[in-house]
Amino acid sequence: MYLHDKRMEEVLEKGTSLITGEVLEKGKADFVFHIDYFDVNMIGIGASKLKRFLLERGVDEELARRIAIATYEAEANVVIHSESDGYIYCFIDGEKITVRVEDRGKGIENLELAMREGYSTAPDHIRELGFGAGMGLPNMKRYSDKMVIISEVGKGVIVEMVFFRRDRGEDRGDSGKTGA
Amino acid sequence: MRIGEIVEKLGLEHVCGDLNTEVEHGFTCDLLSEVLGKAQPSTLWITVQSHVNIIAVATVVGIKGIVLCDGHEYEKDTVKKAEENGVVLLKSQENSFIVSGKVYELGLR
Repeated sequence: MYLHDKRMEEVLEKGTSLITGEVLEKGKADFVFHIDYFDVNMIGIGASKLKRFLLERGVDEELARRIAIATYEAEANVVIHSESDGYIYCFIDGEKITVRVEDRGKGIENLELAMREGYSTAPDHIRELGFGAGMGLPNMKRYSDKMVIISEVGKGVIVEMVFFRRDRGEDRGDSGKTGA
Repeated sequence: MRIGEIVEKLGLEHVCGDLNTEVEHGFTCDLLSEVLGKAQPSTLWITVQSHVNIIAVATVVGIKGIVLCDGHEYEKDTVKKAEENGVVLLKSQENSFIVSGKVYELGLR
């Protein structure tokens, strides 16, 4: 689901989950990373730390990998496109892991286009480094079980992704895929 | 397959990392998101990208080794980060196509 709307304020202030409706208090996040740099060379520091953290917490390797890849893409978007700093929050519970990446930057003008594989607004000097393939949001969607992205031009972007803990061997009765 | 065996058979230059590391797959691409989206864990990544960010990509994907082609040089920070994260770095004077073909012939898929 991709939204451009006013719910952003509520989400930013109360931390209401875009996907489950539960309150995700930032102060109680299991993992927090401040994306406080603008250097593309540093992209992935947060995602790598999150992967290590998840593995230490006993999260299955394949799940940690999916989360890390999706988070890398979100982190890259903050650094390349937002023109602001941002935060990665991760919340772990028994059945799922939720990752929220948010910034208060310039926002996404056309989410439909941004979700399209191959579409990118990255500048040339960044593309030369291999970024800007237009696969960032599609990869996040591919690797997460549920994903919501909310954006308002000039106010930033919030991406929330839920990953079900199949590593716990729980049969949830569905595949977890919603087609976003 | 042991990375050391690939190094010997292809005459690659070893920059850093444990040559006893095992890899099962190969993947050739210079676009980071393609690698993030499609490469499997336990992969040998063939590329011409040499900047430090390739190590972050390798770490999240689970890529074990990188072959930098066409005689390009790794940046200093890239080598440092690779050592910290246990990623094997290799170099070749040949282009990605040739290196990929040889790695394929050795049996990586």
